[in-house]
Amino acid sequence: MSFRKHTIWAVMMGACLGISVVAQEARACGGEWYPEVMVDPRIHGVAQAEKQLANGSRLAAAASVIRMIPHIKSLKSQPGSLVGRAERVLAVALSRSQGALPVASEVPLDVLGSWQGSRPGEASLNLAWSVSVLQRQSEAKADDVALKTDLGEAMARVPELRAQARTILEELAKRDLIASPEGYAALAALRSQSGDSDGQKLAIKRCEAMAKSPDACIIRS
Amino acid sequence: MTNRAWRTLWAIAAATGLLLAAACRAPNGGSPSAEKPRPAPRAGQAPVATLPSLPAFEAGNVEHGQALVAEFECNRCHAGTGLAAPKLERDCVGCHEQIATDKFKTTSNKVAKWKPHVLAYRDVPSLTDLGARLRPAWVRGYLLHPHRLRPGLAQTMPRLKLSTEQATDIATYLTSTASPGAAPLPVTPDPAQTAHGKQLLSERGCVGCHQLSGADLPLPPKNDPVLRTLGLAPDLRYARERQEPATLLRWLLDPAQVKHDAAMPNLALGLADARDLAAFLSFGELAPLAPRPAFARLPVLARRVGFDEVNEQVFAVTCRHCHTNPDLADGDGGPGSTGGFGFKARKIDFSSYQGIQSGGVDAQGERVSLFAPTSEGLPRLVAALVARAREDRGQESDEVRGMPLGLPPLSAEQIQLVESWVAQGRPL
Repeated sequence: MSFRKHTIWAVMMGACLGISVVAQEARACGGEWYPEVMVDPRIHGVAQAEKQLANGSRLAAAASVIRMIPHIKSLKSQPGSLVGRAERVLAVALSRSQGALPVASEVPLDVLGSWQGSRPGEASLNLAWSVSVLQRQSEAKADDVALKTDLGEAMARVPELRAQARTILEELAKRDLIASPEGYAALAALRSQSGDSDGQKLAIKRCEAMAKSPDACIIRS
Repeated sequence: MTNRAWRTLWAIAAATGLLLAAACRAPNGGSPSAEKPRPAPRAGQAPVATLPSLPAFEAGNVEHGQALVAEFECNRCHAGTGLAAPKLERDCVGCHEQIATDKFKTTSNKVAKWKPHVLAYRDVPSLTDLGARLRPAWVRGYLLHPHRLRPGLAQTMPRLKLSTEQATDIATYLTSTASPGAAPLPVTPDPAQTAHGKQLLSERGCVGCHQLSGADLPLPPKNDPVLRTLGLAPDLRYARERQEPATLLRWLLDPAQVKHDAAMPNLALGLADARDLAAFLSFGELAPLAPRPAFARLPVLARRVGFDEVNEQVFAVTCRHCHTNPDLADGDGGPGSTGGFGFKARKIDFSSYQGIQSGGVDAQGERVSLFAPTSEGLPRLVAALVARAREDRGQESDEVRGMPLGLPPLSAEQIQLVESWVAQGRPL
């Protein structure tokens, strides 16, 4: 055998060995191969969180959003986009929880961070974030009255924004466009704070007619 | 000639006559000249009526009509509009057909969920060669006031937002692509012909597919799912409004010559038979239709009706398809949300409780509640459902368009459920 033949033989053997090693690694020859499909679990997760919020499980909804998108505070989204919908869920859940999310049993503490609202000032900052998110989204979708209702509700929980909240919610109530029982509860609280007890009773009545549970209509300042 | 020779000649002639008669009655060998003798009309039999008069039709603008056909998206349901076929997501018929036949690419549980709700729109008449068979005035009238026409199908032609001028232009365009040919024989209200025509309806099996309300004829059998196209067979009562007698005659003689994709088979009718059938369908007396009882709302329920129940029974299965959240549907919220079928975007969203509470935009672009009372005192949502039930009975409202648009009306029980939910304050 000439030198040239030896070389060709060695190269072929090397190639065969290489292929067999790679194939073993990839299990390409044994029937365990399958295409890897990437599915974004947040698509289903955000829809689920929206359902949880609609059913009154605001803490579960918020916890699931924080788990799925821990860096959500650093994102700037469009309303209606996946992250935008997640932001809205978290903002509404935060506002309905007075800015504090006691979900440490569901979310690791290093991920939960200030969302827990356990340190002084955190709850206020969380409420301010909630208002800012809803305000940004509402400005982008000016005729979305459900967003406006959520914004009015969130603003009603920030003392310096109550006048604005009242304007928003009264305007919607006049046209029968308050989109949630919590919106009526917030309006009732605002009317109560301004001494309008008849108006408060009317708003509570509407809230109770809409709500699944009367808990949603308890006035929280 | 001897007696025997005469008898032989008579026998040959009689046998030949019989053979000829038999040949002429064969389905595919009909001769116009040799038909079964017509019965003489008895006194009082087969009285004739005059043709229904339609409002005078002055042709409109063909180009504008074509533009309107595109604007009102007639091609989403009908073939033969002269427009390109729509993409699947906007093709009502194609999409429903794929779901019904398990060809739609999605999960099997979704298909199982949708299937019971997609039966409408699977069979829709093609508008091919419309001018060769229908009167433009009737087409215009039907566009403005769609009504029950095909007993085998649900009445799904939507009541579009059309002015008389727009309907005229559309009818002009749709009927401009073909013209009715000349009739080979005049069709006249001759009592003998109409009497024979009525007899032929049963004899030639027309009533196997067609109903003829107001004539004392047997009803067609219930549709076999295999023979779905039978659903397209119109109630022949309306033939005299839809077609000129001469057009009807040509249609009966050879449907495919009038409309190349006709579902109606060629019955190989002889000319005189076809003429008599056309005479009866055009002039035969029909009893007036008994008026349908007015729609009666059921009293609101005393028990609690929550959103989940009304959503499951009505909103999610009927309303949501055309009124949904565009953010969840690639930007297309359906004709009742982002617009379509000539309707502007009304931004109505039945995909969630909040969406429903958010109402929709009116003609001025202002958000209005779906629960604001109408002049009748009904919440607008309920009024729309009631209006559809009334439209189905021939009563149209100028104030409220019936919903669901282009679908059969909801049952009285479903409307009662919605009305009860609204009356109870729309509880979650």
